[in-house]
Amino acid sequence: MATAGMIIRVVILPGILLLCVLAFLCEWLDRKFVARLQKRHGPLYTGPAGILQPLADFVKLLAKEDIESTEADKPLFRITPVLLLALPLAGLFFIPIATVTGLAYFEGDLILVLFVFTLLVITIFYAGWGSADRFSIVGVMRSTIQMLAYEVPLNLALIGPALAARSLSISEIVQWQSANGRWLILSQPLGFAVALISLMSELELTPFDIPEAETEIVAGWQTEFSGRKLALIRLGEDMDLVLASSLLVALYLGGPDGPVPGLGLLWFLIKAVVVVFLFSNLRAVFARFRIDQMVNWCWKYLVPAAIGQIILTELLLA
Amino acid sequence: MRPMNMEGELLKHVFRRPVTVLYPHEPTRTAAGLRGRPHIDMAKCIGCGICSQGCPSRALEMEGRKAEATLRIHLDRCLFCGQCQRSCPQEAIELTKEYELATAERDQLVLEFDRGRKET
Amino acid sequence: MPEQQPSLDDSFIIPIGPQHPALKEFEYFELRVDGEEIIDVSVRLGYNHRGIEKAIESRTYTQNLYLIERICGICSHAHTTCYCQAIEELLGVTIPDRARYIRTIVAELERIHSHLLWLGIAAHEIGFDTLFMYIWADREIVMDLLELISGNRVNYAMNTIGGVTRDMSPELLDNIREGIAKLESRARFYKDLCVEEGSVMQRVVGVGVLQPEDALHLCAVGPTLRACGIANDLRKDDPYAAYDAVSFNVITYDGCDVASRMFVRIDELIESVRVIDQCLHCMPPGPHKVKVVRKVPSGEVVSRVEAPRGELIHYARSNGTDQPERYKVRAPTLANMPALRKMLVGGYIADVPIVIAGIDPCFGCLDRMSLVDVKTGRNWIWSSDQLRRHSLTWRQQA
Repeated sequence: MATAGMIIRVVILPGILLLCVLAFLCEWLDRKFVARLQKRHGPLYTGPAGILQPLADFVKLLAKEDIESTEADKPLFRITPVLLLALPLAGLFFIPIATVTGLAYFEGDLILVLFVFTLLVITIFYAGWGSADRFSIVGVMRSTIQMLAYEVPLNLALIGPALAARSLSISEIVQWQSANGRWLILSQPLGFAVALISLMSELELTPFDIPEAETEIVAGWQTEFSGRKLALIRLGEDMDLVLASSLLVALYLGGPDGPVPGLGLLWFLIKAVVVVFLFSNLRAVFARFRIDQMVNWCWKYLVPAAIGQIILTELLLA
Repeated sequence: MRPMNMEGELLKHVFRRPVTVLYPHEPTRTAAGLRGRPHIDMAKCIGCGICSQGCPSRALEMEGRKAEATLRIHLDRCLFCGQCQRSCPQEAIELTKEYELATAERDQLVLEFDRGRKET
Repeated sequence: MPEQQPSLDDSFIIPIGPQHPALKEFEYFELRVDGEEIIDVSVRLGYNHRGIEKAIESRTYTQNLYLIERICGICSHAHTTCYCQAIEELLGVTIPDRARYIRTIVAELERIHSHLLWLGIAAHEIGFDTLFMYIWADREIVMDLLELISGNRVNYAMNTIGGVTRDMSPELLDNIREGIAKLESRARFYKDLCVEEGSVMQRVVGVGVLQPEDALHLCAVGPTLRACGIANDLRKDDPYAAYDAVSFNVITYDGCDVASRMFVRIDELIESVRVIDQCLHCMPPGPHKVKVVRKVPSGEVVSRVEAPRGELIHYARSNGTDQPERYKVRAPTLANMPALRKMLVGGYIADVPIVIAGIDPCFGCLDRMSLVDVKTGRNWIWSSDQLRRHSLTWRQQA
């Protein structure tokens, strides 16, 4: 019976099915909000207000022809899209979405989730390398350099909540916030900003969409993927967005905690929507950086800000 | 330097109507002198053939001469440039404002202007 | 231009083109890169060649108006103005004053349209899609004005040999005044926005640098030249239409980079608004065209106008019939190509789209055929007889 309950929790709620629905929902919100900022409509006709558009795109891509070039490294080329979907899903299991704890939790799962981000970039590297295409190679080189720039401030910033709650488990940080009645964004706003910007860089949103710069290198590391593989990659990107916003909600905004207990999923959704709006707004208002400018800027501004936040947190705790 | 300079402008537009025109559910804006489908008033036509000779893309064909002339306009070749309207000595040709001329069959794109009968 | 033989080192080649999201039309730029830095560029043109110069020879002068208009979608009025000026000179007619002013108004509106379109594309090339959407929404104002004037949003068919095809009513003049006032305020808004927005400036300042001596030596034209501080503008140097009757400034900036080219174009937009204002104010009454004969006496003529992209040259030769004997078009983008090659070398891959966009390329105007012998580097142009003979012998051998 415990296993049946566990299977339902893993597969449906708050497991894979809920996460896929969240992924499509976040993509729709992002597209609609950015469109409204740009004086456009966004998705409009599939479903009410176009809410089924991401699902329609996914289904369409599944039905398209899947072309593999003869030069491509077949194992890498085939495995990496699956990994790009599986890794964020794995990370999401540790984040409390509907209940006060994640589906699984242990002391140190924050480090595991941070490692998932690194693994994602390594998988992207293998995806582009296995494509054997000039544009892909340039794209993944840029992606790797970008990781060197945002990885340090991201990890530093996300250690802040762990320091405050004296625990490296995301579920415990969430419980610490509801026990103390205070969200960590109020005491660590600088860390929130640094984490937000670094996560934008991980998600490859403008101004950091350098690895997939459409006007420069066609589609970067995604150039050679088509059909089912591209469908999995795009769903993986949406899942990455859900992972990033869930992480921020859990660590800084109190997770599924709200005035009325028992409606955890609803509060989580509201907070996640706010974070997605933040991502979309920042995505629409900047031009793209160049890779050398981005590395420069991250090391000059983000890293000192993250270190400053840690120092402040330590002083406050002492 | 003020970063995120455009933010004010962006947020202002979130709650306003988008500028996109949802054609064909909404009509588009058209101007009064729009150069659309050509129309020939056969009562004024004298069958001189100046329009047909001057058409840049050979879209206007004249069959017969003078009083028995029949004119045919191939809309798939027509540039809607208005040269026929300008060169007709009797001012019999006029470019109307109709622009929704797409059809599913190629032969529906030929307009025939005949004396006696109405145009088809 | 002569194409270098690919060298046998193992540097990495990135092909920009023929189809590429950065280019709006097809041309081929082969970049040889080392990491992100570009070591060499090999340019190959000719993908857009449509045989227009040959087609002009088998149509009458009136039919050619519409063919020449379609050499380019954005500079279409500049092409027809150049053509009409050439043929009017061969015929020896002077067009009425009102026609000259109407030609100027439409030419300046087209310049506004072209520069607004360029600004949107430049924003898109550096990844700033929001600015692109906003600018192109404002471009609708000028396209609606042109539709009111001419009946179509592109390919206006306003010029005819002997004047213009349509007259302008007084309420149309009021509409134009309203429209350009709005455009001027939006242009100023975009200029302030670009100057203050750090992420835009850091992508265009210091990028695609072209020294003034190089610009002159490589025969750059248009805003590319004026952004190096050299005040060459055909509207002042060799006035045509009504430009001798209006006063305006030639805009130059000293930066020699893409940012200067951007500011030159935005300021030229604002200057065009002033020119249109003056034309509307002193529009003389009178007819808008004169009748001309069909057969053009023999002669040769060269006609130049300042298209939005630079100096546009047309050459015509007539032989007494109603069809031209030979017609040649030299588009401004072709003159900017050697300069473009110089600008790309030494930059980054990330700069390639904005540098190519910086010269405002119009590859549709660009392609006329010329032949290159790769071994000797000699290039020449065939006449139509030579081409016909070559194609017949080739066909017989195949």
